[in-house]
Amino acid sequence: MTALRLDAISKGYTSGSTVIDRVSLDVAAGEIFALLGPSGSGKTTLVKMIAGFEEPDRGGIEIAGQSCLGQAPERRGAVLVFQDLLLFPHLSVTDNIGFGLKMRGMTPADRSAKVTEMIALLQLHGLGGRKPSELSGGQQQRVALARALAVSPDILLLDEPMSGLDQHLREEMGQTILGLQSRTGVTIILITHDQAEAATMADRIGVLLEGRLEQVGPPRELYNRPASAAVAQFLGGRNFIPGQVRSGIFESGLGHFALPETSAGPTWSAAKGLLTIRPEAVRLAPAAGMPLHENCLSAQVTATRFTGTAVFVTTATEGQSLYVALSPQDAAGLQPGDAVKLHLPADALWVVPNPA
Amino acid sequence: MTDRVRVALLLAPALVILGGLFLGGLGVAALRSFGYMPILGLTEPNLDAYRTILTDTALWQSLGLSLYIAGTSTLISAVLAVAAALLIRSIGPGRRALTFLFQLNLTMPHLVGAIGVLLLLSQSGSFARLAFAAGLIERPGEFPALVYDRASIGIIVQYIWKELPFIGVIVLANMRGLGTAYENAARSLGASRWQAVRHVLLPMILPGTAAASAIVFAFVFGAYEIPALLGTHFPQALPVLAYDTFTDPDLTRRPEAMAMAMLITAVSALLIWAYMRLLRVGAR
Amino acid sequence: MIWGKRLAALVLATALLLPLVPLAVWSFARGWRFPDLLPQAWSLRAWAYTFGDISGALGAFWQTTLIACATTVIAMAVGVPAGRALGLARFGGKAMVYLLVLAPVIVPGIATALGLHAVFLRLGLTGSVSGVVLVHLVPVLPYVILVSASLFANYNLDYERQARSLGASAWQAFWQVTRPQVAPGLVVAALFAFLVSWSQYILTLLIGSGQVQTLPLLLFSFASSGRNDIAGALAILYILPGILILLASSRHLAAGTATLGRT
Repeated sequence: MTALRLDAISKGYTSGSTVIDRVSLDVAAGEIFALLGPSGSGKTTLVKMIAGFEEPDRGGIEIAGQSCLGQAPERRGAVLVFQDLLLFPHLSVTDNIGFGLKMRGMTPADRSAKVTEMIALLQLHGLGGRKPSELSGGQQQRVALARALAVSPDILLLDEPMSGLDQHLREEMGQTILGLQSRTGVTIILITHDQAEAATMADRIGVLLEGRLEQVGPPRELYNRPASAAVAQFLGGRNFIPGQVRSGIFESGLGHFALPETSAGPTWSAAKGLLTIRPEAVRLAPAAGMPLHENCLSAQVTATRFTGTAVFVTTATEGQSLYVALSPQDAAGLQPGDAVKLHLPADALWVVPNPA
Repeated sequence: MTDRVRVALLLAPALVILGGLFLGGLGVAALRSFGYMPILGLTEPNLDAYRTILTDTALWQSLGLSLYIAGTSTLISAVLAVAAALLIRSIGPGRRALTFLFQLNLTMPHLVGAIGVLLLLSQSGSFARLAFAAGLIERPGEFPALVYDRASIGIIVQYIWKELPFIGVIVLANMRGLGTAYENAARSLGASRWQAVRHVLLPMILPGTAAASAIVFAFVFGAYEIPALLGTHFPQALPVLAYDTFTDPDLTRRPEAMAMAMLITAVSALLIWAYMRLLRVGAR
Repeated sequence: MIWGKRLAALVLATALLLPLVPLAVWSFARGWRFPDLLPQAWSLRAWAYTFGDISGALGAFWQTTLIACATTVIAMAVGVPAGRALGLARFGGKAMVYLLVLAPVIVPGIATALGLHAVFLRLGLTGSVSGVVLVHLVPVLPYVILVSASLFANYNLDYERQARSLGASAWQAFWQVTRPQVAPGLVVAALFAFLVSWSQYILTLLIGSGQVQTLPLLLFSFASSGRNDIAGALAILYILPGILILLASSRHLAAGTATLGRT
């Protein structure tokens, strides 16, 4: 069943600039879908249109099979949890959680059962009488989730839910959201600019760049088979070698590279393309340590950068930079100026259209 | 309902009332100042009233007096208010008490301050009695005239008493909003405590202080009851002159009163312009 | 240094309170001729007279209260919605609206009131309480609009959107979520709006045509006729609501509210 369908929606401002450009999307019921994009990509506008705070200029929005164009926010089955959480400061935790039910005219007795359920679900025991200002950041986050879930929405829209939290709380909150989804089965749309957050949380990711939904797919697919150089770049791809495809071989100034046989994407027939490979997929060996065979090339280390969990090695060959991510152990002793061999395994290669 | 309609509906009642009363009042005053009074059969606008008042030295003296009172009161109040705010900011105990006294003063009507000043400063007032007790004077008449006087000392003292806290509260809020970060930055760049205040804090609070001073100037310039109670009979402050002209049994003098009202409005229009400019600069 | 500051603070505090001292002393004085530093005798005569029937002070007190209450209610009813629009919405002509609201704060009341007198005379509003209430709106309404605009400008409208998303109607979102959050500020605004009306002198004098007797008018006439003892008692009575209002609201007294607290 489809929880959310966007049918070619567009939105521009009176100034004439387009914010959302013909976005179409189906999100299945029970799915966790991440809408990933940098700031200014139109994520917020898109989510406001789904929640009912803005109307698209063109196109359709369906929630649970019903068109909801022109429908007031309070009548939609999609509840937005704002980034700032916006717990009502004058209401206790209990009253915050019960707010949506009260708006629906539910009696206090009926409300309290649901509120109790939510307090148990989000482990807010003993906090019911507190005011929002008396809660920690993580507790406030859980109250905001409980308040949204209390009205049993079809879709939960989470706008940057982890942005205000420090690292260990982020992971805890991620677990909480995943747990909630598996227990309630609610469809979750997660709006984020953080690719790691999207990859760890979501079943599928939609990459929104400059108002366009560039690619939709499971995280692995996006990382390994980006639809465009822009998507690859946004997801941390840095290696792009210009050239062209000819009968399963990528021909470039650096040599010929065998491409994987299994997946024949639409771009493969394009004459011109960019060969891309994720930095962590590149193999690196000392110049003498690896025989020069297929998909190998010689290069020189120009810089190394230690990031704590990995070492980023910049190498150069024939005026082209290639980036390699290594574990700190593998990178031990590597110095700028060292001659190395790089192996670009065929099954890690991918070709995207050359935008130039 | 579109947003534009919503905004219009929210604003409409207030703007109708305000536009009707304020613009209507000013508009009628303007018409009458040109001698336009259809009810008396006067339908030919003319500049007679302006000619009459502008050729009368009494008006110029009144205008000068009002500008003098407003300028002096505003300047002294603003300088003392900044000094007082710096003082309040820097003292530990007593800060809350002084802030409370400032706020208390904001609730006091001007008239009460004026009567208090009268009882303190008049030639038989408290200060004159203290002077007598100290052997400085022997009769009330020997005490310098501080009310009903040419220099308008009593009026100015009253305005300072009332407007110092008004500007002071704004300056204090301004300082609180800025915090100490800028001054600390200046200090770490080598400024002394006073240099940080002089070259960083004061320039930053200047627009807000000046805007508050513009409001004070306009108020003092146009206020009636204080000069009416503490002022001389001649020259009179401009608003007092306007009121007396208006209530003159000779009804044909009313256009002159209206022309004076227009004069007062013109001065305050300049101040509105100054206020809005200052705050736009102040908005940064 | 520190003693210099303490001395300065003491001088400042004394100066702020000093004009009130002779008022209080005079109200209990029975004969206080030059050059005595203290009254010859103490008495409650001025107070008895003030609260008696002849002075008209109690009538004036209630008249002033009635006018200030009516002005405040009207100003809040139309001023708070306008303040919301001015504080939260963006719209064309906002600068003009702001100018129209600001101008009455700065243009002296006597200029407007002289013109209004002619109109009110025609409408039969001069000498009436309703005419005085209307003319008091000229300073009070802009005050309410500006204070509520600054209140709403500091309010995050996403609270209402969040409430809508949770199922509240537009009205419910305002009443259940926004109203409780802005209420303390609006109460303070209303109390100070009351004081702005309470302090008006020349507007009441002009439009009331001497027939609407409020406390400041009575106070002025006793003070200018040299009845210092009665003026003292009336002045104390006159400042009492302001003190009570300050005590009631000092906890919520945002700087922004105080800045416009012109009385």
